[in-house]
Amino acid sequence: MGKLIEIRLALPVVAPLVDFILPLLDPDSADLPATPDLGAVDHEIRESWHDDLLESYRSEMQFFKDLFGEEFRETGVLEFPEESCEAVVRACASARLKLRTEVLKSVTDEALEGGDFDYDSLGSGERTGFMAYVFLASFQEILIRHMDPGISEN
Amino acid sequence: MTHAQAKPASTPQLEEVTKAALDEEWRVVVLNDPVNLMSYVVLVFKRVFGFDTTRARRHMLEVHERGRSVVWSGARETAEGYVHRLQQWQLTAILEHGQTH
Repeated sequence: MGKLIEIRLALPVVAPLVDFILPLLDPDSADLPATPDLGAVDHEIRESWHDDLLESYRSEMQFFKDLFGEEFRETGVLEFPEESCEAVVRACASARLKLRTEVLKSVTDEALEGGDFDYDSLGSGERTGFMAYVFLASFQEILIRHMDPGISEN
Repeated sequence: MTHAQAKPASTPQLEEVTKAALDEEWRVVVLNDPVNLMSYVVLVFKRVFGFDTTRARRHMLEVHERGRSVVWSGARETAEGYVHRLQQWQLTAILEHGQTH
């Protein structure tokens, strides 16, 4: 049996962020969080291409919801097999993209990438969304450092 | 005989079509996006293409600084497979094509 990863999070801080994120993540979603550019892709395979992406996205959303399920609510602990790290990191990327397209629409790409915007000018929902966005990035960084320490060097 | 005559006549044409298809280069291009972390993009390049860290980081920096990086080029079907995988990882990847000559 492989190793288990256990991450203990500060429940009072993280739970409100998770509460904010989860309703945005619909495992039965009819749409992708962002429309992929299929311009040069063969017309005959575009529909199945899109359906595959949507299926993958839906399973990530379900995975994310399960991860932050009842046990996390009670203990603040996330526990998953080491081989699931990749799925967790991917699910976080999808969740961040959803936050960007649904909640942080008013922030330009340049400002969001550089962190160069006035946080105080954001509305209350946007502020929480941004904190959730930052939390997921930190979570990804921790996992990536564990999965491949060489990436975070330099 | 009709078949015997037709075969040699069609072969050069077929060769030209095949050569043209082989000369077509399809590029997998990754575009910059404001969402994904640099470390995440490096991880994806390593996972999808099997790049070592140095090469993955070089492409990531090219995406970040120039807005795009051609991460792979070659046959269409393979290129499509890579673009699809990159999009599954939520990277902004597109397919481009052109002639090698």
